Amino acid sequence: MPNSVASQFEVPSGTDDGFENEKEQTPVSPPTSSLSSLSTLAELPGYSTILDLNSLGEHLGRLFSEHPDLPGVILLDQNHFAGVISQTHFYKCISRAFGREIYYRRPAAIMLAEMKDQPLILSADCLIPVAVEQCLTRPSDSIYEPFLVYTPDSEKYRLCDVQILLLASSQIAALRNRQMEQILNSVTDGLLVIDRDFRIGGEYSKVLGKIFERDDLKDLPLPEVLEPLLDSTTHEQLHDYLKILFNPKLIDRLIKPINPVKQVSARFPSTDTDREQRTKHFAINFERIRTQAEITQVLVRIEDITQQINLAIELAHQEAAAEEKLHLVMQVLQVEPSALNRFTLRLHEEIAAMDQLLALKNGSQNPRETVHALFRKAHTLKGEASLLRLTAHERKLHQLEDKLEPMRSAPQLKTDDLAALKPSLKALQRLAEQINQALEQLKSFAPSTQNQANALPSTHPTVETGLMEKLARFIADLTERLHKPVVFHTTVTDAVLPEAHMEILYDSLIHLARNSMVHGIESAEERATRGKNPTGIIQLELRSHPDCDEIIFQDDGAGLNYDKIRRRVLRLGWVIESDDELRQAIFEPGFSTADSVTELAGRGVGLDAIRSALQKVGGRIIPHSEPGAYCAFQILLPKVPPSLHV
Amino acid sequence: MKLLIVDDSLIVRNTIERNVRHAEITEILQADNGILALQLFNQHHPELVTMDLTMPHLDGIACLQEIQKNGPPASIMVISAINSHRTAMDAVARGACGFLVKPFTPPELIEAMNDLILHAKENGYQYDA
Repeated sequence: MPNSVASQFEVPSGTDDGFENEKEQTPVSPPTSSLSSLSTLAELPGYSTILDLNSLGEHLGRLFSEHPDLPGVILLDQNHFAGVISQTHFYKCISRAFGREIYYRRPAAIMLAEMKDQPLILSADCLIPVAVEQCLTRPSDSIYEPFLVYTPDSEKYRLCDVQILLLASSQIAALRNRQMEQILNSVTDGLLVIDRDFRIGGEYSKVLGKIFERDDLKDLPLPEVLEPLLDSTTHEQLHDYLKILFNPKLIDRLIKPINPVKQVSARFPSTDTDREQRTKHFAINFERIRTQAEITQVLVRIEDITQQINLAIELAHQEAAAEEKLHLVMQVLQVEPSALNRFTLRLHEEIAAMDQLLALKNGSQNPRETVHALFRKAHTLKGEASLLRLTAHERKLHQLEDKLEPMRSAPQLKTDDLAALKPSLKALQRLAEQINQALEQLKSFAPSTQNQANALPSTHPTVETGLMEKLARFIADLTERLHKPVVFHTTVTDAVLPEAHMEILYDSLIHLARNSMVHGIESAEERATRGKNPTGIIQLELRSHPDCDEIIFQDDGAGLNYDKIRRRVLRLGWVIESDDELRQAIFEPGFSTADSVTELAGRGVGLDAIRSALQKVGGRIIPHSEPGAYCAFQILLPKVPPSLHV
Repeated sequence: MKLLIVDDSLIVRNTIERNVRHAEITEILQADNGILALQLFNQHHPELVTMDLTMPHLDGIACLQEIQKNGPPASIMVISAINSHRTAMDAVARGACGFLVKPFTPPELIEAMNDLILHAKENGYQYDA
C-alpha cells in the first residue's frame, strides 16, 4: 500500500474505546433491482470500519460478534493505512490454542503481522464481472478475503465482501440469461453461434425453427443442416468459407466479400398441401468472435429474404420483357425492310402451315412424316432468321428443332407426342406478332427511303460493306429520331476483315455511333452558333496493314469533354495525371454511370466491355479527341486472331 | 512500413497510392506485373502488399505463391474482381489475408488499408527502423 493513499483514512478521534464503528450500511444482500451487466462496484454495499493499529484484539472480537456480517476491519497506524484484518483471519487466530489469551490482550498489530497478503484494492468504477475475475485469481487461500473499493470522487475506501460480490455477479448473469432468452425469442433474424466444428450452440433464436422448418438444431453442424437445402457447389463453397472464418490470420472485414451465401436460394421439400418444391431465399452473414489470438466461435445471422427476392425477380422479368421488345426493335431496324417484310410474311404462312399439319386428324397422315415436314420448315426458317440476325426468332426456332429432333428417330410416334409441340408453335406465333408490333412502332419514326439511299454507300456486297450498311441504317435512324442531320462517309482501303472479328467490331461500332449521335454531334443550331456546318459528319475508315487491320471511327462533334471526365474521375476517387490517362479513364469499368443513360446512349455494353472484347482477340482501341472539333477512336485488330481465344 | 501496389492498371495503382496516405506508410512501391512485383518484394521487403489477380507475365496467384515461398511474411490484400470461389480460396491458401473487390470506393479502400496496417502490426511485420 503506497503512502500516498494512506492519508485517505482518518483516525477516529475523541472516542473512549479507541475505535468507532463507521459502518455506513448494514448489508445483507446486494440491491437486486438496479443491477445490470454494466453495474460497477460503486453499486455494492461496503463497510468503513476503522480501528487503530494499537487497539486491543478484544475490540476486534467485540466488533465481529456484534456484527457477524462485517467482512473485516481497516487498521490505521497514526493516520496511515496499515492493513485489513478480515473476520476469517481473526477467527483463525483466536481459534488456535490459547488464541483468545494471546490475541485479546495484545494490539491488533500482531494479528495483522500474520496476514500473508496485502488486500486487493479495486476502483469503484470497476465492472462487477471484472472484479469477480480479479478476486478469484488471487492465491487460493485468500480468494474469499474481503477487498477494498476506492472511490476517487470522495477519496474514500470501503471494504467489500466477496460473497456479496459473487451474489451480485450471479444475479447479473441470471438477468443476462433472461434478457438473452427474450432477445432470442423475439428477434426476427435467425441468430446462432457455431464452434470450430461448425456445430450450432444450444442458444439460438426461435425464428430459426421457422426458417429451417425444424427445431432440433442444437449441436448439429451448420453445413449438415444446410446440405439438403443448397446445391452441391454452394454447399462445398460454404464448407470452405467456414474453414476460412476460423483462420485468425485473416482480416474480418476483408473476407466478407467472398462469403458464398451472402444471398442464397434454399430448396425445401414439398408439403402435403403443396406438391411443388419450395424455394426460400436467405441472406447469411458471419461475425467472428475472437478470444485472444484465436477465433473460438462465429455468430451466424440468417435472414429470410424470400419476399424481397421474389419481388426483385418479378421486376427483373418485367424489365427483361421490355428490354427484349426494345432489342427486337433495334434488330428490326438493322434489317433491310423488304427482306424483313418477306420474312414476316413467310413466318406467318409457315406457322399457319405447321399448325395445320398438327391439326390433321388421326390416320390422315403418318406422324413421322408430319415430324419430318415440321422439322424441314423450322430448319429453313431458322436459317432465314439467322441471316437477318433476328436472334430471338433463331432461338425459338432452334428450341422447336430440339423438340423435333428426337421424334424424328423415335421408334414409335403417337399423335399425343405431336400435341406436345403446340406450345412451341404458340411461342413462335407470339414472336411473329411482336415483329409486326415493332414494325408498327417504327413506322412513326422510320427514315424516308430517300435519306436512306443517300446514306448507303454503293459498294459491292461484302462482309465489310454489310457492316457499313447496317451502321449507315443505324445512323440514319438516329438522325431522324434525334433531329440531328448527319452524313456518314466510309472509306475502305484493301480491307478484308476476318469473319471472326465482325461481331466484336459491329458491337463496338454500333456503340461508338450511338455515343456520337447522342453525345458527340451537337444539334444543328448549336453547330451553327459555333461556326460549324449544321450537318455533322461521321466517318468510318477501314485500312489493312501487313500486320493488322485498322478501323478509324470519327465524328466532328464536340469531342471528349475533359472537364466532365475529370469531374467524374474525381467523384470516383481515381487518380489521373495526364490527358492521356484521362482519355483512358473512359474505358475503365465503372466509369459510365446511370447519369449518362438516356433512352439511346449508355445502355447495354459500355466502353469497358468494348475494350476488353477487343483485347480478348488481341486488339486495341485508342481514343483521339480535340475538344470542340472531333472525337475519333482508332481500333487495331491483329491479322490472325490468336488461336487461344477463337 | 512499406507498401507494394501490384496492379496492371496505372489508374488503379495511382488511385490506391493517393488514397492510402497513412502515417504508418513511409514508402510506396508500384509494380504493373507479377515479375516486377516479385523483384521489388525481394529487394524492399514491404510489410503491406495490394495484389491484383489478373496481370500479364506472372498472375496474382502465382505471385502470391512466390512471395510466400521466399519472402519475409507480409500482410497481403487482394484487390481484384473476384471471379471465382476457387481463385479466392487459392489466394487465401497462398497467404492473402483478405479481399477488396473492384470497383471499390476510396472510403472502402481506406478502411481496408487501416485493417491491413493493423494486421501487419499485430503480427509483428515491421521491417524498417
